[in-house]
Amino acid sequence: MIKISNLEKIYRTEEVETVALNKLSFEVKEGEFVAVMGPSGCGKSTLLNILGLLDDPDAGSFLFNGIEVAGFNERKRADLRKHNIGFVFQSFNLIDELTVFENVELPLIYTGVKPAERKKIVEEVLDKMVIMHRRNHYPQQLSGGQQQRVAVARAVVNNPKLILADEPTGNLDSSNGNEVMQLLTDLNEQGTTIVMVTHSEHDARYSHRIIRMLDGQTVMQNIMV
Amino acid sequence: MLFNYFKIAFRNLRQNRIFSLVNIAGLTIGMAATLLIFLWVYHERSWNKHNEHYQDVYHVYANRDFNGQITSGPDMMFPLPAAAAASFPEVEEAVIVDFGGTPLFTVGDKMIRRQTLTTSPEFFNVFSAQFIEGSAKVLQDPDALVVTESTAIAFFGHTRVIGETVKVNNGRSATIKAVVKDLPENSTVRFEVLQPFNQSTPEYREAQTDWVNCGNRVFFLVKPGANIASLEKKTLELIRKNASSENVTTRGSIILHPMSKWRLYEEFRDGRNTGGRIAYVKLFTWVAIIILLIACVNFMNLSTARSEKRAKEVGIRKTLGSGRKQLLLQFISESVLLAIIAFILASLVVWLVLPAFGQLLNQEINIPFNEPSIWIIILSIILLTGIIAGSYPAIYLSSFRPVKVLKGTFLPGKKALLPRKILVTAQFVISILLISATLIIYQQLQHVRNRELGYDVNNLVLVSSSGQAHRNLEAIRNDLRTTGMVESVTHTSSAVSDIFGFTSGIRWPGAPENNNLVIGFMFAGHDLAKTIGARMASGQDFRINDTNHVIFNQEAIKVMGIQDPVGREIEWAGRRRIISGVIENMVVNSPYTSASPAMIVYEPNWSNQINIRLNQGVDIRKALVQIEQVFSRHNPENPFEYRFMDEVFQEKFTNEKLIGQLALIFSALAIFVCCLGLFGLLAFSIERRSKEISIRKVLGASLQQLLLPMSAEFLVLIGLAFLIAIPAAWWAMKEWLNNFEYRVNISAGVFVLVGLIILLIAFITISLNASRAALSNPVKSLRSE
Repeated sequence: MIKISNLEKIYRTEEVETVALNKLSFEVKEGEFVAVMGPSGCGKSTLLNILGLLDDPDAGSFLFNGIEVAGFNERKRADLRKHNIGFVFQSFNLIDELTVFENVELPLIYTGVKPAERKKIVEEVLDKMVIMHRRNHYPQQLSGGQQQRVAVARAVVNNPKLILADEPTGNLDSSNGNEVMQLLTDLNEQGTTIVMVTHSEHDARYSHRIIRMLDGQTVMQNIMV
Repeated sequence: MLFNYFKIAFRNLRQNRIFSLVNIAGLTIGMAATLLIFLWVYHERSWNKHNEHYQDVYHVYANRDFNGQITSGPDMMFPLPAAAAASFPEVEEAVIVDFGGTPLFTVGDKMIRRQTLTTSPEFFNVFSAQFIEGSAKVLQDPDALVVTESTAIAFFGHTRVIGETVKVNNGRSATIKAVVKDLPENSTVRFEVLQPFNQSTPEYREAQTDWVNCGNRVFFLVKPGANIASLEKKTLELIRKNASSENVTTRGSIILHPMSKWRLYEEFRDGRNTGGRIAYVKLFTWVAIIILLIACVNFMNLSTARSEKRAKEVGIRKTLGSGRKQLLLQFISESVLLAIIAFILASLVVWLVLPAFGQLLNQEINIPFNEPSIWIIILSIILLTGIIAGSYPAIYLSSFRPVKVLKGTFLPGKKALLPRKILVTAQFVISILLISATLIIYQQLQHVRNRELGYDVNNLVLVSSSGQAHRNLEAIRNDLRTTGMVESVTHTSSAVSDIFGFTSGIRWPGAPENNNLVIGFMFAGHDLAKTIGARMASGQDFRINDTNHVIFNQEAIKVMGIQDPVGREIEWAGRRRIISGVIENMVVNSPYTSASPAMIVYEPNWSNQINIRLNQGVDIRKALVQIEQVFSRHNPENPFEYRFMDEVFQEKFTNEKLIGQLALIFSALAIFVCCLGLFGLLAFSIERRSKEISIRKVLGASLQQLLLPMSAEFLVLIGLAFLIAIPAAWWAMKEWLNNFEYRVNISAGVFVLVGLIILLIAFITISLNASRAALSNPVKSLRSE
């Protein structure tokens, strides 16, 4: 599903040049659950942003389902993103002014799904995430675990092929964290490919494969049994 | 999708109350001001449009050469319309109309004055009116009167008045033959009573062949597409051909002034139609646009200032697949929603203040709901405001990169700081311009009002004269004196602040051969200078039986070049007259021009106004009661109508006073909107700096030390705005003042005052905000960090 080759990303300021990704190459197959680990500043988040088409690489190739997307313009990237990729963030990133229902509904609006169908889909997903009873609440009225469940619901509402999770349990206690990891595992078992950036060895154990990074490069890959 | 945008917009408005309040208040004021000005402009532009032949009616003006100065005037000769209609195929109709007056109509025991025009039978072929009773043909009958609906009701209480007789000026009887609907208030040629010229009088017969004397107005209805320039030339040729000798009219030129320009382009200079009210219409249209733009700028500033709050939302939306276009649309929808809310509130404000606004303008301003264009304009105002106000924030906010925003490396507002500073500076430039303009307009008004007039307008009462009053003038004078309240009495042909007419026929020994001197003149009785409070430069005031005496003003003597004028003879109107004295120059007609030559002729038989000088310190109300008693004794056939001379003089400033008041109101609104914006910006700036303020406080900063860094940024911008605005204001107001011969000099003091006003307003706005933050408990914001 994902094939990156010699991917480079360099951040430049007037005085300093920081190499975030240094000729990085790896592949993620459809249905895989991959965890990316490494110390702070090793390039994990940069990688996730590029995989999520939120950022451009400076060099290298990025094939998504066999299509080279590294040179896509913003409109094409937005289009590809909304139909294929779901995001789960450490800080949930829910829109404070929207209710739980409306937050989850948002990706469907962008993909042009009709209101009646949207309602049905959102209710199904909220049911599945056991958050239906909070559908009219605003994010600030929910606990961290509940907020992350909403974020996961929003990430999957469009049935994306790929879910990118950036430290999804980073702001949660262990019980809520486990719950979220179980949700991701379930989604993966249903066929969704997942790439997760994490600091937690515990969370990484939920994945099929761990890619370990250092200074913008892959240093080791562990296949989980 | 749109519903989703509006939903978010509503929730944002609710959550950010200060932001919403400032924005909605600013936009409401901006829109209300725009709507009011728009309604006024619409009203001004609607003048005369009810006339069927609006596009094809022309007012005939003559450019006349007076002492080398071209004066454009509508006074035309009586035979012109008939001759023009007969000679020029492009002239469909031509009508003659006098300048109007307010004769006294007596119906039973009712005595009522009504605005009356005297005209030829073609009147209704040129000007439109809706007949309730009778028809346009009645003007063929010299004894007929056409009255308006309200006049008929005032006379008889109803409109079925055909055949009723009315006494005119206590003399002839006339019969009402037609009733028309009241003419719209926005008509230039307006009447309450219309009467035909009396064709049986010798004056009428004489006037029919008089191509020299001009005392009426002439209007042409021309065929569509007629060549107006050629018609102007042909009209002048016609006058030249028929005039017995060369005169000021034949030496000049003719202008056909179209009806569409009568209201707004009413001024002539050097023989050309140069504009007039249109300047103010344009000026205030700009003021409206500027106020609305200031409100839009507020919106832009506040929206970008709170970008940090919206950045996360933008990042999330982009991550979820929203394109930039969708975000642009979202933010524009938000500002359009705000514009709609502001418009609803503005409409309410307009509805509430419209009567007072109409009163201020002395015009009946209505909202033309049935006019389709108004709805288009309303929609345009909402959309344009929404789009202009929302455009910059939309472009700015939608440009955020989700990676930076969601990663937290986004620096809120920094990127937008320069445009925001430019916008705040621009707002203050406009405010300073408006305050400067307002102050200078007021200075000019005060300058002219306090001008040495050459007569004393205080304690001087003008009573309308009549044949009966004139016959009994001596008795009136004696009775008034015996009241002990009146110092002196004289009669004049017009109020002394207005010249009665112009003449070119003065002859004097030593006059140049080609003497073309045209000077203003008026008639007066004895005790003139004493009564009006004028000073004699030499010679003496008119005394009883000073028949064949004249008084010149100093300017006239200067122009005529007469040495030692007192006692010398001149010849005028077929009589030799002695110069009794020279009066100091008086301000007549326009108070904005320098003194022009004038002659006052002793004439015992011509009195339109009786001037009564009250003794110093008398109780005016008591004096008026006494004066009324005297007049009701000696002038019972006429109503007692009086005016105070100071009020008559003040009428000359109506236009400028209005402009001053409008400028004051709208600049105050503009400044208020600016301050709202500044207030909002500061609120956000302080919110961002709450930690800094708290740390400074913990480290021992005093209130002043806290206020200074917060104020400094804005004070620098205001200083910059001042430097930009002052030269612009100086130049613009110098141009405006050039319209007046008698004008104030722009002093640096005005700008110092403007600077102080702006600083004071800004400082109050800043202090209100900053001191609130500075006085807050530092622990709170540090803990929240």
